[in-house]
Amino acid sequence: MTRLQTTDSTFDIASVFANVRAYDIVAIAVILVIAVIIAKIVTTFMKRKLSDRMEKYELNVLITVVQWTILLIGIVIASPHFKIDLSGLLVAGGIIAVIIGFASQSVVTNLVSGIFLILERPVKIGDNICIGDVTGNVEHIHILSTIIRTFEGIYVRVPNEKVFTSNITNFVSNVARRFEYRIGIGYGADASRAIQIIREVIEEEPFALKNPVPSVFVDKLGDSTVDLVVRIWAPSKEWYDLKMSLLLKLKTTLESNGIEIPYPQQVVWVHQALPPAGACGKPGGHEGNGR
Amino acid sequence: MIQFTVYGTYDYSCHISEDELSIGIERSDRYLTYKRVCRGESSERIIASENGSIVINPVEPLNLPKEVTRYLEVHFNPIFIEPETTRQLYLTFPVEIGVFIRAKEDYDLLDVFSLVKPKYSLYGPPDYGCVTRWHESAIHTKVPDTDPLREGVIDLTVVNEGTTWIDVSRVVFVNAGMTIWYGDYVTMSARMELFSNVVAETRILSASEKPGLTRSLPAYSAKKVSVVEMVNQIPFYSAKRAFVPEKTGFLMEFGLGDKVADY
Repeated sequence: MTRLQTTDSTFDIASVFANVRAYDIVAIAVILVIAVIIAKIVTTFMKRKLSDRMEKYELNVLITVVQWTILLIGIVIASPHFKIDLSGLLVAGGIIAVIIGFASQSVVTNLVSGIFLILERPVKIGDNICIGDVTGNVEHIHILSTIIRTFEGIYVRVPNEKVFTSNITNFVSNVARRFEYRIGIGYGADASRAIQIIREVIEEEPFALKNPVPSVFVDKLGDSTVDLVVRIWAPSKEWYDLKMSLLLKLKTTLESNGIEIPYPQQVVWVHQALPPAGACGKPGGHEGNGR
Repeated sequence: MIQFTVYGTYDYSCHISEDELSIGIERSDRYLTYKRVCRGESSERIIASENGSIVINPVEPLNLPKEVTRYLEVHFNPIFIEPETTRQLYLTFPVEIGVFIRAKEDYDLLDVFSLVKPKYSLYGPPDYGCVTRWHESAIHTKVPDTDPLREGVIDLTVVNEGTTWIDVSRVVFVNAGMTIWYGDYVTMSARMELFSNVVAETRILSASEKPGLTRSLPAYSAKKVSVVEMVNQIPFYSAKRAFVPEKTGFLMEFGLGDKVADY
């Protein structure tokens, strides 16, 4: 059997097909049909699993790439039945693959990271996250990059490789989260009454969760205040608005109930009354100390 | 138990005034203006319609101050349920009042308000649990007297299928299939099947007719229509929504009593 060398300059296509038998044609057809069926099954599976996780056009690109890859594998498997020696082609293809591999290393890394991000879903569109030094809302998760809009409204594109390998803090992944205030009241105020008032204000707030129960307690006897700690659980989507509004309500309610929230202050005790005006020669009873 | 109730169907000339509540529609040259004042809070919507009606009825209490959950949790004093028995309890639930605008067999939610202050809670741990609309109820052995503008009655059938006594002090429902009936009082029927001390399944019985009572238009469905329309651009997603029946039961797997996980 004469094999055709692909490097041959005199390529005779007729002699190629002269060597192909009916069995080979059937085998080629079966292999290609199987490849098409597998490609169809895989793409259907991908559509089901990824249609609500990816942008439509990106999914179409990914599906096209996967379909062609499967078909190409089918053609390679069927190639012996063409009676073509592909060894030269494979060597050339290998060299090209190495070159392309080096050139597109970061692209492939980002692509693979993007696929894993889509499957693992540590973040979702709309989530409030922190990746490295970037904090904001996830706008899009593309195949190669993730788009974050910071709280200042700045567009930030983070390569998926960085997203995948960085520590991700997702502020809204859990359905509820806790936040905390420290409120200092004066030593003259009734701490028990203050705690009761704070509990009543929290009870009035719809999104200050009933369970887990909010905790309010005296945490520290500070230099100038009795420090109360207030810990409240709230739905993750609402905690920030609640935190912003509730502190003002606590302050005004405490003050309207006569609970003082004092400035930092220091009490100075004078052991002896100051001398009357004009008699400044004897401060503290130490005659002749001078000034 | 007959009390004044604002629930019903009205034409565009309606004006309703109750203690802390007033609802009315004012007609200008070309438009109608819906105005509502409830506990000092007001709402105003402009309507472009000639032939329609206003329907006011109780809706699922899961909309205020904004929609954050699909779950309603009713907490009550602990009750021990004997093994392999079925018991009938009556609990109360908070009422939110929905105002719908209806024309040509189509309706949409115009306004939701409530005379009851909402409160939310967490059922289960913060990572896997769910935020719930929380309500404290007493346990009643017959239909209690309630103000239909503030509270409804849950006709709850509790089934203990196990062989041990079970202590129950809370029940959680999902809003899917939450059918509310109104008339002299507001009510819905539910079933709770206890499997163990920590697991139960709850379900609102939407099909059970209530003689003398009218079925409420649900706020959830009115909102859901627009959601389905929105996702119609994604064929597979919309097909899934259209053909896969929505789960109407809820599996309470984080406990039935007051014991809460250590957070």
